[in-house]
Amino acid sequence: MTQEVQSRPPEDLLLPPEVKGLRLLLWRVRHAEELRWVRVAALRVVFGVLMVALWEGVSGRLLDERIVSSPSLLLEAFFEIVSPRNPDGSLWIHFAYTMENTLWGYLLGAALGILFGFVLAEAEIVAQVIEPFIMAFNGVPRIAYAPLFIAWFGIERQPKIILVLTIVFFLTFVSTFSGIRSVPQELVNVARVLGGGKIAILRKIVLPSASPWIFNGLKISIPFGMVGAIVGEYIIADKGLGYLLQRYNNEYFTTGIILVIFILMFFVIAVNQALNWAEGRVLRWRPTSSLGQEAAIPN
Amino acid sequence: MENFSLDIHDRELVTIVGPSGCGKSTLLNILAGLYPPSVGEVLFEGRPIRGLNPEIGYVTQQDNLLPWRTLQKNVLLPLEFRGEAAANGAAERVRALIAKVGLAGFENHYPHELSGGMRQRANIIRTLVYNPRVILMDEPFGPLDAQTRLTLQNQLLELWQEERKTIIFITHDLTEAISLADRVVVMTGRPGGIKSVTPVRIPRPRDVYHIHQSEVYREVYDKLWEELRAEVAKVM
Repeated sequence: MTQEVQSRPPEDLLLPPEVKGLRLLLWRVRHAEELRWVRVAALRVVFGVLMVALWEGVSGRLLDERIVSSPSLLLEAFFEIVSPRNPDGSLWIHFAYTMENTLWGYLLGAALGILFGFVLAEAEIVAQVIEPFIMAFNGVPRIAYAPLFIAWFGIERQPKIILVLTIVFFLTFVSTFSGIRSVPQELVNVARVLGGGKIAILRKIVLPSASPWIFNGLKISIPFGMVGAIVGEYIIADKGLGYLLQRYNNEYFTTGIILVIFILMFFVIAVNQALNWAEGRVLRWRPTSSLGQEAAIPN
Repeated sequence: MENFSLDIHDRELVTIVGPSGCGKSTLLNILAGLYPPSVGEVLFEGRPIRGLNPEIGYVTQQDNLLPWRTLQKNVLLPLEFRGEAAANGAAERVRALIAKVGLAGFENHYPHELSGGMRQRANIIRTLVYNPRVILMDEPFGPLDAQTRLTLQNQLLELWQEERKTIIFITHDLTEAISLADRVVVMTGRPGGIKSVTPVRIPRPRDVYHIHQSEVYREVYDKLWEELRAEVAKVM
């Protein structure tokens, strides 16, 4: 009994026993270690609200509304632009167009990137031969290729998809390639001694060992892939978020530009969250925190 | 390595000691078939070894468990490679071996959740599970603390008694070499060769915890230590 009392945090002892119900809940949210995430979430909301309030406060007073926009203007513009009566077409049409292009480019680029990463990591001589060519192609900012892609693939969605594809391809290719190159040779040797054939070793040793790298490549590809789609639309398009940005820019419509930026932000956060979740499931075997776990292990 | 010629009998437990850098691990890598010898040959049941031999198991100093597989799945791996993982009795054999080395209850733990001693036990039964005729061991208990070492030596002897494998065991520890062995091989420094082969006539089953009290143990220990000291001095 004594031990139990001692191991509790001191605040726990200060809590008067008659505190119950809602007050107890509030007290726990403020002090309990396991409810830390509630505190963090609540403080995040407070921080966000304060930022918005500040923005609203200075806009039109200290700073020109036409340059910095304001949350209320943003909200107004949002409802206007999502409306199907909008002459540009509803926001959803633009959003879907950009996302479809991103998705197709992403899927194709990632599939090719992972495939090539695997093949080239196994074919040493080929990898050495083409490495400088790949680096040269990848080293040039992708926007420089955009006019070429438009000339080759037209002004519809194809050049946008290809632009996304080339970006995603390189990121996933490099991460897969490095992942496979860093598979510990001891593990491969052990698997050989234990009777593993080439294909079995690839499936059971190389792929899982490289999977954290591959995931990383897939994750960083998302925002970069979207850049590709938007740049493509920015140059020439009649639809898409990039097209909207370009139009609003020509019209000096700051509120619209900020609105598109916000939409992109929310989207990237959502997708990243989903991928983190998937990664956590696939890579369950990785030690998350060695602290506290060590003590429980008998010899 | 030079002039290395040694016959190892079926179901024998031979330990090898020698100064560092004399090529003990190289010897095992050659025996396992990971690398071919530059000169000479290794015969297994009268036939030369070319490439990996599925009848030879190899337990390395590092446990080399796959971090993304649970204990049970790690032990099952060689059976998966052989297409026997789904066979009748495979799961039972894995479970029985895990229980035999005292790891029951940890089947679904990942390697990072196990201690060094537990991982090394898993490493050993991962080799036993597919029943190789010969098992090579390269200082498998090297990184472990003294108590864990003794426990694992004891378990190894029990397993060997039951499964009756041929074991070639490399170690730095003379006591370990004597406790386990039918014969102890002392290797010379560079170039690595055989200095002596000493039979250990301590009756089995042996008690590794009290073996140092045995008269025979002391005699063998003194003889081996003299030989080894001369070799170590040459290398230094």
